[in-house]
Order: sequence, then C-alpha cells, then structure tokens
Amino acid sequence: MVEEIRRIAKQMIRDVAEDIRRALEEVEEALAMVRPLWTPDGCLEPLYTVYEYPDHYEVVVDMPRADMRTLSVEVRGNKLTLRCRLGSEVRFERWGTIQRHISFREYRMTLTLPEDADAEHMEVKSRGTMLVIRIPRR
Amino acid sequence: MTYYEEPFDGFSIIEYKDFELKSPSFFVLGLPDAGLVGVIAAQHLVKALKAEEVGGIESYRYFPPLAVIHRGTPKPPIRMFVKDNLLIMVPEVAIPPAAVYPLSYMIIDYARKHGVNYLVSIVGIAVPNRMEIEKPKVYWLASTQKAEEAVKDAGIERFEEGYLVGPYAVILKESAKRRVNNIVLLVESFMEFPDPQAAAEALSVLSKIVNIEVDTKPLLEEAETIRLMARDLMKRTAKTLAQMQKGYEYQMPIMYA
Repeated sequence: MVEEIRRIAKQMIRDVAEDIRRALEEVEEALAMVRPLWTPDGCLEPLYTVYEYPDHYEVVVDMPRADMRTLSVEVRGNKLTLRCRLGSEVRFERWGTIQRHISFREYRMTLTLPEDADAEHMEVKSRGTMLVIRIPRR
Repeated sequence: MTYYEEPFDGFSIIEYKDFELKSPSFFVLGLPDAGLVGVIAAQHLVKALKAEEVGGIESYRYFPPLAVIHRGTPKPPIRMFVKDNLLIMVPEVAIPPAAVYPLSYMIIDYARKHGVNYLVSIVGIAVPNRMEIEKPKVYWLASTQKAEEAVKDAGIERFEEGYLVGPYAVILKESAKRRVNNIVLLVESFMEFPDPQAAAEALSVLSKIVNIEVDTKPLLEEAETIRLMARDLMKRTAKTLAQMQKGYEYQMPIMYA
C-alpha cells in the first residue's frame, strides 16, 4: 500500500514537472515571436535551424551580407556564441516603429547546446553567407 | 479610399479602383510558404512591372489587429496589384492555419467573379540539400486539362509524387473540384530561410507561361538584402508552417499505385 502511494506520488511529480517544462517552452516560444531580430546597438540576430541526427547536430545559420572572414564561433559551457560583421554597414533611413535611421554592423547570436553536444569536436563550414556548424554527439 | 468592399467568411476583399484584366488573365498568388518564394516572386513582379495597387484583403477575425503602413497610409495585410493581364497578390503577414481554408475558398471565388482565366500559385518546396543546389528546379501541377495545356510547354517537369501542405494545397484541390484552372509552380527552396534565387527561377518559368518579360537580374543582385529584410516574415511563417505540419513535404506518400 505504501509502495503504491509512493509510486503514484512519483508519477504525479513527474507529470507536474513535464507540465511545467511544456509551459516554459510555450512562454519561451511566445517571447521569441515578440522579441525583435535586432537590437538598437546595430546587431542582427540571424535566422538559424538546428537539425538533430543520430550521431551529430547541425546548426545552419543564414547571414546575408555577412563578411565571413570576420566570423567567430565560441563555446563556453553549453552556450555557443556566434559573431560576424556585415560586409558593409546596412543602413535604413526609417526602420519600423522607431522612425529614425538605424545601422546594422554585426550578426550576433547565442544558442544553448543540448547536453550531449561535443563542442570540442565541432566543425564550421560556410557556403556563401550561410554557415553550417556540425557538432558530434557524445 | 475604399471603392468596394465585400465580406467573405471572416475576410473582406477591398478594392480601391475598378479594374479590368486583359485576356488571358492570370491571378498570381504569392502567399508565404517555404523560403517565402511566392512572396519574394510576387513582390519582384510588382516592382519590375510597375503594377498598380488596386485593393487588398483584410480580416478582423484571422489576422492580428495590425495596419501595414506604407508612405504614411494604412494598407491591408494582403495587397493586390494589377498590370495588363496580371492580378498579383502580395501578403505582408504570415497566414495563420485557421485562415487557410476560408482564404483559399475566397481566392477561388474572387478569381471566378473577376473572370480570371488562371490562378498561378508560386510554391517553395523545401529540399533538405538546398545548400548544395546551384540552380533550383521548378516543377508544375495543374488542376485542369486547360491549366496543363498552359504550362506543359514551359520546359519543366510535372511534380509526380509527394505532399503539398498549406493554402496552395487547398487551392489546388478546390480548383480541381470546381473546374478552376490552377497552375502550381513548385520550386526547390529552403524551408526556413528566404530564398530569392528560388523566386527568380519561378519567375523565369512564369514569364514563359504568361508571355511577359520579367527581368530577374535585379532580384538576384539584391538577393542578400532581400534575405536580410525578409527575416521577420520568414520567422513568423516558419512557425505557421510547423503548425500546418509542413514537414509532410519531406515525406513520400505510402500508396504504391
């Protein structure tokens, strides 16, 4: 009887934890849709996709007008940070709601890597202004 | 500013100007899809042909409560332009999944009402190895024999097997059912990144079908800037495509025969 109660309690805790995880994911997703892909200090966040394969992850990043010679990809802990300057400053005379000129000079993004990502052995390749980061799984 | 407004199941078609299309007439649909191929192609078409804005589509039920401001004037989220025998639809927002069916039905009804001869859908068909493809291939589908006749000499192959997901799928099926001529141009593209090169390939084929000159050189020259500018719409579109299970397009149907 005690064992049964303990089992049910553990299951309930697991269910609650799963519900919280899903709710956090939804909040994160909603915030991502509201958050702009640029910052007023002249940084753009590139579009990217993470593909999951049995033995590795592949992060594909789209960075139009980037100067790929200035690319830097660093990993600290489970955070991957990418920076790359634009080939020439991109200037918009009236940008969206701020209604004043804005210049973009750099792409910048930070990505949380999955726990089994082996960043020490990652490979970075580019094709034009698109980037592929291949990260083996442990 | 409104000359005419007609409600349709949660949408409104607005016309600012009376217009008449030359024959044979084509309604080019640039709805947001994989790689924003249709949107980029339609926008370039409007720019290259200096098409005149004649109306748009609004929905207080399906679209977010927004006004698209251009040169200080509010515009509907989907804008429509005319040039000679072309009616061109250019959306500025992602299409929510709940809007797909009513919007598709409305497009077909509107085309019939205006006596449009052909609906032309420009669709990005996502391919996983798009980065390795130098020149994206264009395929066709047609809802009727007449639509097939119009596209078969364009020098492209028919799309034989696979899935089509989203508004273009509904428009194709419904057009076939109602005997409306729908030509679908499917271009290999990225799923989640804007793809001006794929749009240029679609326009090269479209120009043969509608018999007009469309210079795609400026589109290719501005490709990097277009990719940069289209990031926000692409991000929102990618979310709606995931909700519509766009991933089906990577699969093969299970049926053999």
